[in-house]
Amino acid sequence: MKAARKILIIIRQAPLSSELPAAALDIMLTAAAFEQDVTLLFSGDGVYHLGSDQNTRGTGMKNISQALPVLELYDIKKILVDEQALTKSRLQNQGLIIKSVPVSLAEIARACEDADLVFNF
Amino acid sequence: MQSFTLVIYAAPGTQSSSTALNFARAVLDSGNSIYRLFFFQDGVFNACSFNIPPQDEENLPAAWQQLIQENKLDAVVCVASALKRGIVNADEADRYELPAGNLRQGFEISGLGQLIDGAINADRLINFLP
Repeated sequence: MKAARKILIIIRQAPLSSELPAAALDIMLTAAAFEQDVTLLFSGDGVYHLGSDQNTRGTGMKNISQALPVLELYDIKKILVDEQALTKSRLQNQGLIIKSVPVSLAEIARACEDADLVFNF
Repeated sequence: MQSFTLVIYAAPGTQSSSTALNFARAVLDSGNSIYRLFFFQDGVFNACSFNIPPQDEENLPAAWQQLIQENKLDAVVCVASALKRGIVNADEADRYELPAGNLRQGFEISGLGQLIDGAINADRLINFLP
């Protein structure tokens, strides 16, 4: 097998907006199972997945926020969050569901440059 | 020459899936190669054989099938996405006691691992989002 590829997965869509954030999570877990070097970035409205009180009951959609704490078991430790979007969301006040590193736009650009593959959802 | 994996997330009738097909044709026409086509989420409807579009509309699943068969392309349909949306091959139809399979010939049902394999082994990965 080739050396691990650096894979950046970006979640930009809000919870309940579509099935793409759930797809992102599935792709991420599969990539981790293939021992790839995975980084996850929450950006834009995607930061709301980090809220600790997301509740999808009655919507018929999966609550992917609840699955996020599992990522550490898969050795996915590089979880980034768009600093500007996070501030705007005011989510810090209630605590995030998983530890994530706030990054600036310049750092996001660098993460995209560093990655071999980018999945942008 | 470069090899490409294309991931198709959108159903026929969307700009995205038509663009993906045109892109695939352009890849081959320009002497490059396709490592894999991966149909994911609503993209699995491109592999349905029961679709009957109006006569004045393009039959996108048939066009995909022609491209796949003429060029012997590896075309994988995500099993979880497919079963959820009622796209099944003969084996799955038997297993779930459904009246018939409806997966087009040329397409193959498999797991998400084939997407990652395609992503890491092709030179380029292109996602066609809805």
